[in-house]
Amino acid sequence: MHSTPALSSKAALPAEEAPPLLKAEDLHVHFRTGAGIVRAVNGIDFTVRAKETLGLVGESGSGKTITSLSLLRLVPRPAEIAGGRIHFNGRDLMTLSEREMQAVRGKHIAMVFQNPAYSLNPILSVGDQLSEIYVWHEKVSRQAAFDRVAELFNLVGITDAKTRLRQFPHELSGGIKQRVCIARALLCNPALILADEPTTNLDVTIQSQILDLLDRLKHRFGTSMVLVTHDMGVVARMADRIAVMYAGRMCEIADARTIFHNPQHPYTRALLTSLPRVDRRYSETPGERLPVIGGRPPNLAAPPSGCPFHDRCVEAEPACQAFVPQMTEIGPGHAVSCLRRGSAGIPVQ
Amino acid sequence: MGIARYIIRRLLFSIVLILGVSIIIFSLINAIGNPIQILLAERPGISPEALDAMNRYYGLDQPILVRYFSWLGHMAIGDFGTSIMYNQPVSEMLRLWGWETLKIQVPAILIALVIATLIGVTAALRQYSRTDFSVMSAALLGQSLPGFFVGILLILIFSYWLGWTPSYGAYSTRTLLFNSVIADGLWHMILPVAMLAFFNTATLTLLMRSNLVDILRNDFIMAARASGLPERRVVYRHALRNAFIPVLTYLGILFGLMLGTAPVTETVFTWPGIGFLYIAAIQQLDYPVIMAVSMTITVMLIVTTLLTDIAYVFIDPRMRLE
Repeated sequence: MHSTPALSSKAALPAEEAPPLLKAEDLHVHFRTGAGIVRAVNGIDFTVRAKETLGLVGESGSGKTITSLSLLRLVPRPAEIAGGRIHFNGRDLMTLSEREMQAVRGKHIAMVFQNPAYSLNPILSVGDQLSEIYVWHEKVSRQAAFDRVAELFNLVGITDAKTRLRQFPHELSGGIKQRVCIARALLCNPALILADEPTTNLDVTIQSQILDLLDRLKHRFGTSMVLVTHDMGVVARMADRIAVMYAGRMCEIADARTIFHNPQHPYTRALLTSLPRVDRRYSETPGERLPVIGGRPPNLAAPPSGCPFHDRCVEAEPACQAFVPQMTEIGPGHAVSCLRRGSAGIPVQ
Repeated sequence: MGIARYIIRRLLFSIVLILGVSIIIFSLINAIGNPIQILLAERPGISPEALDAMNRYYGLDQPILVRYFSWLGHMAIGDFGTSIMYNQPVSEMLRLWGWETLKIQVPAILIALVIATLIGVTAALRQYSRTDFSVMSAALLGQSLPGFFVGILLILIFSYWLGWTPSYGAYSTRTLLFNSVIADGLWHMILPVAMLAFFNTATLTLLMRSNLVDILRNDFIMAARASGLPERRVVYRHALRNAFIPVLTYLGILFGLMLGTAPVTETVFTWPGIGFLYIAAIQQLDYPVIMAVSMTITVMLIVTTLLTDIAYVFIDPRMRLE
């Protein structure tokens, strides 16, 4: 055995010049099931700086969607936030009352959902449901709210806004629906937009338009964004920094360039090598196969001990089963949780 | 426009349906045989001439098609003939006895709707909790118990043991409660309404709860919450309105079938309504009444279905596609 990880308290995250817009610390989300507690989010830390896009990537079940919902304190039952702090605008959102939280949702932190077909109320006109939100937060007249919605429709590239206001979701195409959802998120000029796989359910050509739109609006209004996705292509295009999640834990956080050019965590590396490349041919013959990550995503009801990735990791060593690696800074703004990269570890009880 | 055309098409379809059922009812009744002969079978003293005269009086000597269209034509102008057992115009009887049926059925449905909405929402918001589990068990039990059993149980408890309510009839025969027709009528309505509301509440609660649970799982509910709308508004404005759409169908069926379910209730409580009349008419082979009530049940079901479909167009914008 070599390089026995030192016992250490939680390593500090990279220091920043200006205080970040949002800082999540030691966030835990549990599902209470008949079979016991499932730790969907297991003690993660991250920051979102002003005007930046943080890409939150990981495979299905890694906890990325739950993480974004927990920032709004809206994890669906039977999940519940079991601990942590969410500093936003100088306040810890975890300490706010439900009423104070409602004033944050939609106004300061807004969300764009994965499937635009399901995230609009089918029996209210889009104008009605969007203006309702604006009236609620800004205490303006219905007419003023409708004007605001029409203004945003123009901004997100919905032509003929006045007519669209009176239409119902089923009368709109998927791309237009997602534009409506983006307009909904922008209504009150939020400081942060949480976008949960905003393009996964759209046609490829529409995907590109929607990503361009998000990027343009973000720059125009100086909005920060947390972009949740499993698509490395999307984060490559959009994110300033990237956080990689696995089994409810953070693997690696760094600026986008570092993640793509100098990934450190074996999982991040595996993710990147399993990306198909346009300049290569793949077939079933050995050596021409698209690389895949062996094994299966962990069962969170009975997660592997130590590093959750050890049973699929090509670099795993015995210590990986015995110690839980902690996020440790290994370069400027670059933190990784891997014993093989010198991360601190906590012994498994 | 689209909606007007839709309504006209449904209306025409309803008329065809009513005509179809009228043919079935008429054929079935006709298949039983000549009512005069059946009614007078136990009176051997009747002369063939008298029988002929009666057949001519009731038009039974005419060919079947002529009789069918004569019946249909008279019905169209509100003439259902004369009851054999009461010797009264059937249309007048439908009005009087029908009112008594509506008096217990409509309040029972409305009470059930209000209670089911409240309980259904409470249960759905606490899905899989102990409250939810108890409510669902009670509703399932309530739905499974036969209506007459609940009725008899109510009579046993509230009339026989406690003596709080009358056990039968719509009005007291000697002294009215508080000397008031209204108070006395309401007093008599309590048990039959309770029995009907009990069953309706159980079914509507289950329906309301399961719809709401489904709707609350939708992304648009999460989106409404993520937009900062308060939970009350999310539930009542966004979720409940959507959950109500399937309930509307069931309400239509409840209203449409209220005459069809009346016989059981009205027999248990000896309630002078359409259902009671229907059973009596069948036992006495009072043909005009049987046919009139059968047609009324048919028309009510078809009309409420039509109204439900029209209401859908106004509630659910997705139905406005043509």
